Amino acid sequence: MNERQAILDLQQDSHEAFAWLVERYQEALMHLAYRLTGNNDRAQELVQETLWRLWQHRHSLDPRRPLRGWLVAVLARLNVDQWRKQHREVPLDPTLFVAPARLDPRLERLEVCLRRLSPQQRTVVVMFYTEGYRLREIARILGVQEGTVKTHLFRARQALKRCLEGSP
Amino acid sequence: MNPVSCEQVREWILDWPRLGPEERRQVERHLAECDTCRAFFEEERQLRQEFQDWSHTLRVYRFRWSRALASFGATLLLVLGILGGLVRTTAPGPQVLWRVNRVPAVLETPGPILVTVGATARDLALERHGAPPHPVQWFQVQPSLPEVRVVAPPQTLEESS
Repeated sequence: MNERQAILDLQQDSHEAFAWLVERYQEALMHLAYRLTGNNDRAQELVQETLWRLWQHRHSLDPRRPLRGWLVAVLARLNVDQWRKQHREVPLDPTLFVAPARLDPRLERLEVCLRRLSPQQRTVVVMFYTEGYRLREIARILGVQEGTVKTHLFRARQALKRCLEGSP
Repeated sequence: MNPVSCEQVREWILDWPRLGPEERRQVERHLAECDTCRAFFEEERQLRQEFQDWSHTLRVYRFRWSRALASFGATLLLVLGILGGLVRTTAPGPQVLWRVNRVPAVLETPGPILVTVGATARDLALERHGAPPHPVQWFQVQPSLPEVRVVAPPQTLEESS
């Protein structure tokens, strides 16, 4: 099965296609969700919700376009939106989790500093530096102006610089 | 006289991996004359490196009973080995985390509920709810795989019970 066929099958309500797509993307989504949240429970929740949206919106998907972009956009927007809707967390099965493969004080410090950013700033920073999106692409995904994204990025960089320089 | 503004140069620095050769040359010329932008460039380079390193160290794990049992067995062997004067060394594996499956999510809005859970959560759900409050789409863990990995075609709780 290829992705295009899987999406076409999904639009025919195929559970097998859904399972195939989940298998294909769940690990990458979990990875991204952890980078966006720094929290495994929250990452689980985001991935679950993103996959649920995939099922809900299967009929509006365009099989000619890569699904990854759609999933990343949904996940990133959910991350920002759900922080606005606090305390609507849903307990989920945490069988997947993300952790550093090795301990490194410098990178631990980066994680600590990232947690101090606002969800919007963190989302922009992670999508920019680890996902390789351009500012205008992030703006389109988050549904905001490019100038807003630029502001988030510059403020986040300043905050990270201060935080990282303050490290012991 | 430098024809490119600091603002433009910083935008280019942020877009560095995608810059063409001519833009890179202009940035380099500007950096040779501008300490502030050179500091910005260096910060950006370090930040990109930090994020790259950080991203590469993160791994996705799944709990596997076989791994947990293997860890337990290895620990037992190690203890026995030490007690018997025989020290065994074991290769370090990735850390695993186990938490009992919780009751699947119940969304506030009516409609099907999506869960990816194993038998433990299924039993808990039935025990807690009896008849589910909404139609539940049930995604079981594929039993043929050694680890919790794939969601299989959904059934309703009513069907699976």
